[in-house]
Amino acid sequence: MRMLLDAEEKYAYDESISNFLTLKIWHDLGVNVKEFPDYIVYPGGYDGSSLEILEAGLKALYPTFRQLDYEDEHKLETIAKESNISSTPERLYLLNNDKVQKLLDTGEIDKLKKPLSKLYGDLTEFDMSFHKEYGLVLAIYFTSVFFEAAEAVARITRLVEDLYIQIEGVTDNGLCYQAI
Amino acid sequence: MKIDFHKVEKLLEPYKQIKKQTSEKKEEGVAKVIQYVWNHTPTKKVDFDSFNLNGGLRAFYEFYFLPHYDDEMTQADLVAIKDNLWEINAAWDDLIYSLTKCNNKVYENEDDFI
Repeated sequence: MRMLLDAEEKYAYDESISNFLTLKIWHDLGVNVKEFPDYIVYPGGYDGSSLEILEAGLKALYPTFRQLDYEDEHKLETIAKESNISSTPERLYLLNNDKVQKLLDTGEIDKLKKPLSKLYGDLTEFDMSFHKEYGLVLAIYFTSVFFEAAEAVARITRLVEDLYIQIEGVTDNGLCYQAI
Repeated sequence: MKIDFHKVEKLLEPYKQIKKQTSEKKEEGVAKVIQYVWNHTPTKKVDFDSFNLNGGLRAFYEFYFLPHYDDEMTQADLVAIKDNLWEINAAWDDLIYSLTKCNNKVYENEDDFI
């Protein structure tokens, strides 16, 4: 029985593998993860690397990355309320880029609301929504296994890109298509 | 000389290689993931193209459902552990280690007073 670890050791490995998967998810989106922190979490040690890996990926995908935690509690609560997130989360990430902003401005973002509502995690409690001003809002309730949240972000990022290309195509070639 | 490309194309047709569509549900590189994590390979040295996400997920859940030492275990649990991929990987590691050790191939450092 080599794999019979004690509870703390096991949870540390759960978290480590989750971090490893998070790195893989970022890598699949084209993020260079070579300089990201190591994914191994040691039992009883400093467990910041899980958050670091998650945030480093979000930063790479959404340059105007902002995070809110208990230090800006008031703002966190207001934004959560404005984006229809039911309960106050531990952390809130405000993710925006040109593509999301463009979809928000044109109102096309409504098309993504349905797929967004279907995303959920079995192990990670998180919530996602769109906010008029701040773009994509990711709410994390306390947990240390983050790969499901990363996966959800990845899915939305891909949907945003697909929709963006569609819209760009219409505005660039709209007349042309109509003529045909 | 003129080349009739239509003819060439037709002649080449039987040698056309058809790419097989890999189904998305395939779990590739489960063993890779297990080895990377078990050996604590630093992020820099991991080849993230050597496995797909489903393989990674399989490795995760395989570990996630292992019982831990403080759990009350049934006989069935103990049997189940033996078939666990992580257990098999660790067993192989131990086997290889014991093989290299028996030929006096491990050089011990004399200064090692710990």
